[in-house]
Amino acid sequence: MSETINNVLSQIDRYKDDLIADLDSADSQKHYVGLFNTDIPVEIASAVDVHPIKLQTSLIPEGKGNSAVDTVVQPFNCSWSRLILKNILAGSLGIENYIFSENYCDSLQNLHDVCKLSKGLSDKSNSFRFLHPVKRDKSMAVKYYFHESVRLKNWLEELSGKKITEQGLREAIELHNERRRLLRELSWEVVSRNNYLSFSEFFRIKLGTDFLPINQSVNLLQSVVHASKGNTNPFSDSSSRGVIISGGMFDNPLLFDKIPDLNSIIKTDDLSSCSRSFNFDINIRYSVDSHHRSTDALIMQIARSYILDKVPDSVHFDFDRRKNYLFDQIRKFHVLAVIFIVYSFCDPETFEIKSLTSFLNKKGIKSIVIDTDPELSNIGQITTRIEAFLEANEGIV
Amino acid sequence: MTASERGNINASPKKRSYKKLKSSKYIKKSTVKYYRNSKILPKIPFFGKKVAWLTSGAPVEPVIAAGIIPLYPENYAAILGAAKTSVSACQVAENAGYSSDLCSYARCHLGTVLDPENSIMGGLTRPDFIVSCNNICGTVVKWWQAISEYYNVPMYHFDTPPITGDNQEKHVFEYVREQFDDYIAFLETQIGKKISQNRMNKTLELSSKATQLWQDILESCKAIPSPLNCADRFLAMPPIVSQRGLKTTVNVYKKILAEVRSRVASGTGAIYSENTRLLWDNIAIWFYLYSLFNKLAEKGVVFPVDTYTHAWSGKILGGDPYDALSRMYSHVYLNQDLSYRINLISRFIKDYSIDGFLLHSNRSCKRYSMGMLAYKKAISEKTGKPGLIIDGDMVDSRNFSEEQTWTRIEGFLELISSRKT
Repeated sequence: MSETINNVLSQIDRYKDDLIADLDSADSQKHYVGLFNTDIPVEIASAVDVHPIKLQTSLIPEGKGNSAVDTVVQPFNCSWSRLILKNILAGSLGIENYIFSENYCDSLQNLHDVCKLSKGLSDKSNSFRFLHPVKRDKSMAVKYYFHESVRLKNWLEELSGKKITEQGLREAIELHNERRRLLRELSWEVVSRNNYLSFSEFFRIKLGTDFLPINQSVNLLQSVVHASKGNTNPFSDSSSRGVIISGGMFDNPLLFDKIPDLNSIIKTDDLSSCSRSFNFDINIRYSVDSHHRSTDALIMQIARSYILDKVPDSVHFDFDRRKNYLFDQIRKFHVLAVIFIVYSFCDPETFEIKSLTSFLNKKGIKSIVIDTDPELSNIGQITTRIEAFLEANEGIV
Repeated sequence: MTASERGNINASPKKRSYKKLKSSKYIKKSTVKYYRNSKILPKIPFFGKKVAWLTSGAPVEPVIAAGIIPLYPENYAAILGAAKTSVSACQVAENAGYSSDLCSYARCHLGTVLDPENSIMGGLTRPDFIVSCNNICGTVVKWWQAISEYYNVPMYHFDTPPITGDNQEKHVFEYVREQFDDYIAFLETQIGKKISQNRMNKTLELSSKATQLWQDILESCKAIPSPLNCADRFLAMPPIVSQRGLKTTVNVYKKILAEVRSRVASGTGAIYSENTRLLWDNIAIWFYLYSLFNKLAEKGVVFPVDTYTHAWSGKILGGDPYDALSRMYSHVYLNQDLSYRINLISRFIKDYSIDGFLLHSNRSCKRYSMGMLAYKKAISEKTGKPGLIIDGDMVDSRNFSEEQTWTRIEGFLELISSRKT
């Protein structure tokens, strides 16, 4: 691991500790909000100095959590949402305010109410229930997402006590666009396999930027990109074999540390928590006519981009775009194998993976599906399966 | 005469614990006709009947007005469950790569798609197109997607964001409403002509009548003794789910309502000696339907009310019909938050004179089951009535343990009995 990467990962760890300390202060709480997925327009939060924290496995303190979660949700609910809920109930995340993704999937639906009924949310807690559009291919979904984002904006303004301005939102969008651009650039580093950045390291950095403040994220990513310059160009070894990691909520980079053979051959990913969250931008280079220079016009651009440009997740109704994105990644990075990683009891992903594997099979692309949970409790099994898969496909991976 | 026969002469015949609903024969007739028509009519070019597969919460009135035959995979899976052939169908889907953790309605139905020859009625008639609506769950979107891919047929998805809080947000209503226009355009493309407004109005009128009749049937069970048990209502449900908007449904429910009212007037209950009234929450355990409710009936336990059959009690009120449909389909039970459920169940407990409530933690339905553990306590606190959770599944009997279930139920009944005395 290079010194720069080491420093960056240490910075992320230090920030995590600082974040936990800061969340202890009641005054600070209004500046933070927990999110459950990457389908929320975080740009709006940043514009009013509310710092979005994408909830993830790495934020869960080890050994914490409220085992009473078993008296609150059944074991057949999505293992990721159970883990998060376990920690919300224990207060171990330290966050008071959340943007719940009410209808993102059936395991997250009513999670807000479950938290309230189980006293996982304090009386001081202030939460928003974002109602996602499942449709991703129509202008009516854009219009809907716009209105939902405006509703979110109003709530964030009340939470922070700050009014959003056109200038502030524009700057926030530009920063998030820059973050996404830098992540794309860094993801090419994984492809070029010049030993500068492994997938595990890249994934850790990416997940770190999901809870770092946006300015800090951009600075950190810039330092990594800068340090990587001078290495071989992206796609320098585009003919080399490798695999793509695909999945939904999967967010535990430890998996790749525990299976070094896998880590060394991952060329790119199709994860909701990774490339699907940064392979798009918000286009704000529209007319500078004064009619259009408004917060609402920017929010409309956000809506367009999230609905029409961001690659849909398995929970959405636009399978062709997800399928085409995966196939584009396969072609772009010249891979012939896909490793699907799904968290247990994730119904949308489990269903969609069945369709994707059939599709890939017809195209002659090998694939394997790995079922696990956020704590990787079956790591032994996974390792055996993956190693067997790699061995069986030695000629192509 | 053998010793055993001699012994049997002296034994008194076993008395049934429930009274069979005479008018249920009309349900059977109507259902048989419905499925028969779905098999025959599409094959006759003269009729030009198209077939659509719909989710149970998808707007069916425009489909019927368009002269399309609607079929319901969920309803079909329930039939397989009741006939105890659902597990083998699930296994077909699992062998094809569908995870056993997925919804059993989906696995069961997809199993019949993959292997129709070994399915009841040879499976459902192949669809010309399919329609899903996520007001009942998110799984249907993926399930229907799988069907669309398998048959290579168009799919329309109706997106209904949930209601959180007391009122539907204006932009949510407008989003659903706009989809109705889009949906009508989609249907008209499928049939190659405009849907007659007269036919639509007539269909809506019949749908309204049917839902009102159904509502009246359900509310009759407030009477003590209850004229209907849970199983009666589950078995009477098919027309309101799958044939809403047809004249036959109105006629069938008029007959049922007449018999139910006659029972109320004469003080006749659905079971012979009602002593305990419970509420049922969640979908039926179809493969154990009779066993469960009849065994409980033997103990004098009746279920005058449940949340499942009340899901089809929305009204199409006056004004623009599509505005009314948008509201109705958005406000279904499963598209509302837990506060709604707690309030509704609490109201049912009061209105139907309920002694306790039974929550079916349905392994296959996250949408229905998620939150149950939390709201059980809230309902008990609000109503003072005890609740019980039993683990089960709607059609996959591998997720059900009869012994465990009865142990819990017996303990629960003892608790209720001791509270009453």
